[in-house]
Amino acid sequence: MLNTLTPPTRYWQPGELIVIGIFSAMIKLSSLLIALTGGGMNPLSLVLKNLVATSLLVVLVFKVRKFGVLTLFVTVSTLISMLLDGGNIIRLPGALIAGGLCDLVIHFSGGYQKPGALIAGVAVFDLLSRFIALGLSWLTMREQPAMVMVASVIVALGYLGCLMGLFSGLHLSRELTHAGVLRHE
Amino acid sequence: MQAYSGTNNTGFIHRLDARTKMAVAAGVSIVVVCLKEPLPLALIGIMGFFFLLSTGRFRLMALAYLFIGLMLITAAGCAIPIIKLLKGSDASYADFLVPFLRIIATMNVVLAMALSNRIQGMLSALKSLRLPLFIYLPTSATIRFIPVFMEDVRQIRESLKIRGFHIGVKSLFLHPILTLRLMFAPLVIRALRSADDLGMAAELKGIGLTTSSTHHNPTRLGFRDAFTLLFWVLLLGLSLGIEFGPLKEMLP
Repeated sequence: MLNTLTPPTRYWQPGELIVIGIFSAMIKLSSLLIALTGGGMNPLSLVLKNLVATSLLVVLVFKVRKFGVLTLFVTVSTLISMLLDGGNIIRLPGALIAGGLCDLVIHFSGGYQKPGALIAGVAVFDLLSRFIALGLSWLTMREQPAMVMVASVIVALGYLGCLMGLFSGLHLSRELTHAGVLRHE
Repeated sequence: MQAYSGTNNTGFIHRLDARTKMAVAAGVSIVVVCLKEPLPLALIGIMGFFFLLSTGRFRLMALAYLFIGLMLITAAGCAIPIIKLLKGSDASYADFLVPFLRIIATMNVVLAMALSNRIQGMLSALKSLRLPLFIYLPTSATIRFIPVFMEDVRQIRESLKIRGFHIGVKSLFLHPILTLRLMFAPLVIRALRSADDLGMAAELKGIGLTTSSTHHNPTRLGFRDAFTLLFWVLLLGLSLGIEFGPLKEMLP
């Protein structure tokens, strides 16, 4: 009788799902805000928006330490991109593979309780995401590989911001944990 | 974007189900990658342009075209010297026609979807797709959080202005790290607090328990959706036919 009244245990708790959703929105809108404030595609705003996005992603994985968090994040993020800002749906399969691989990287490099493993996972995720973006660029502009080379420079500049974001994200997560604002789900 | 601005339009495209627009955008995105000839790509691009025109948001359309145009011209302008350096041959902007057409054809349909979707429409569409809760809940939280985030940004900017710090292009270039820290540290703290509150509210409401929710106003695909889907299926089929099939002789 008691068993029938006990709610079944779910892998994802609503609180964790809401955190993933809110951070997806923050990452998307922060990038948009910086790009608009910086006046489009200049190198500084390109680095800064990637720095902020990676820092927020680090805070997200520090908050929701569960296998599949990056996979779920890219799924939600790609869906939202498609609905709101014209993101391309053909990014989804590659993004899902990247998310899944990075969750495996975190799992096998020490698990979700080790900050080093989380940082490694996010670093690999950012790198794979850039490769997917370049792959998509190649599919679209394959007649002119020189344009893919121009895109590669922009992507490399963005990844520089991501690498900086790993350290700032770690620093921000530690500060937030110390302040009692960031508690693990 | 419609979801950000909340304007209320009642044109043809605004009455289409979000699932129809998603299907059109997905179909076009996949087909344009397969095409290599300018004629079928131009056909999809022109029809996509009319699809986009039906949103009636001409100012945003013009801005999007201006932005994409500038981006493409800059990219091609940088690529031309690279081609000259690598191949030793001259290249002109005309050589970039096929990639440009591919980008514009995709942009027209995805932008039409983004400009005509309303928040409520998107949430209904997501619900009607019968996505599992672990995708539906964060996606709807993302959509619902957008206006809250905008309001948070406005409040933080105003509070910084009161303290004598103006956030803008100048501060971003002169003091990038300080600007980011002043702007984003409070934003992250507010977001984490909101997430905690919403998470607790969701737990208390019993979201995600065994019983499935009932739909007050279930969305159904109508005649308009069927017509639009049929039109785009025929158009994409025709484009593929021109490129690969019996209509290939039409090509110059």
